[in-house]
Amino acid sequence: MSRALEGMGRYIPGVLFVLILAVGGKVLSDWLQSVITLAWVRSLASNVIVAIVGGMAIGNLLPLPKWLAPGIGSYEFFLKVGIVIMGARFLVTDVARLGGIGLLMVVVEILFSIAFVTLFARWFKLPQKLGSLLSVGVGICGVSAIIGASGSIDAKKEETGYAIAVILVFGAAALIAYPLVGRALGMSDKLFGLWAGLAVDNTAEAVATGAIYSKAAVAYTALAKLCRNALMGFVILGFAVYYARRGMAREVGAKGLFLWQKFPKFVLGFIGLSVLFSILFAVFPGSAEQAYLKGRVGAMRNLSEWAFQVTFVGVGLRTSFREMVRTGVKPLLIGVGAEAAVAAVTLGMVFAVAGFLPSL
Amino acid sequence: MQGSDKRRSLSLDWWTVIVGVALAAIVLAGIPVIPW
Repeated sequence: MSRALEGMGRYIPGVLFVLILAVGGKVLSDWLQSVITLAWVRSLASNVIVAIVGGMAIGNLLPLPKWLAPGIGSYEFFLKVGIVIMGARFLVTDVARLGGIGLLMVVVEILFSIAFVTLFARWFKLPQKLGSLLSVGVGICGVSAIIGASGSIDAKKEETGYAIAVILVFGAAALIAYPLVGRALGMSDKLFGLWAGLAVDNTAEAVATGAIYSKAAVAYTALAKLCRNALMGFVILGFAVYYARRGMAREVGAKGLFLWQKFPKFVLGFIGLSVLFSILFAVFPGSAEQAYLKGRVGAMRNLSEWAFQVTFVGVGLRTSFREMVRTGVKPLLIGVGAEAAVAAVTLGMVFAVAGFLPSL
Repeated sequence: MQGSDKRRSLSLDWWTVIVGVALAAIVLAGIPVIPW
């Protein structure tokens, strides 16, 4: 028990640090919004951008003590809690309809990413397992998918570190590039949100990219990203079986258990709250009850936005420019090619299905 | 080591569900979690 408390204690300083920065970023953003008169400059001072850029500046310019690191890394926890709470905003029928189309697009996107990155990695004579890790990272969900896959295919530590660094470099680039492209193409919140959720690698960066575009876009981003995350186990299982058959990794035991272990549980929390609130809205049709429920859903939206605010600070703090330089040219070139191809394919898909997409 | 890491990450994943649902229940009950 005392050991568990000790373990938790390691997280407290960093968590407090990130929370203070998140609140500080929001206060600073609100103040900037009130004093800046030019509309386009004001849009650059949104709470999302202030949190990310502030985090980047502090993380890269200040020598942060090591004891802050565990707590800083905990922002993924806030991100997932925020996504779970977000489930209350979605009617389960919309989740099913949009999720159905989303899953189809995700399957195409994953297959394309894996095929493209594998070919590219062979062309550049990259180690086979590094190519596989990159393809998992680009196709599904960045860092957690890479970590999950690296254990299952017995990849080397350096290969895992390399793949994660590449994914994070492109996650940071996506924060700037995607909203610019979206604005240039005049994309709606719905289309942009879906596109970011389908194409941006890491869940935190995907949500941040959607949030930079607009508050409405981020809901679509989260839903599309959840579809990708939900399929993580299947792709990792595929790679694990592939390498095990070639004698390059351990055999996979019970496949059902493997899939369950790799399934991101926060997706279940999201769906659970969506089902619960859909039932509540259906069971209490009276106008007073509906108004109460809508008010509560609004409060939950506020809560998940705060959880995301913590995430954005964490994304900024984690983005290390020194690490980017150290990553090297070859995997970055493969990354550029793969990311551009995935971005183009998913953009095409989103526009192709635009007429069939329900609004949330 | 890897095994214990796996166990920890699994339980952490479940904790996100527990904390998220608990916060949703508190908000649904009308208790303000974030006052601003």
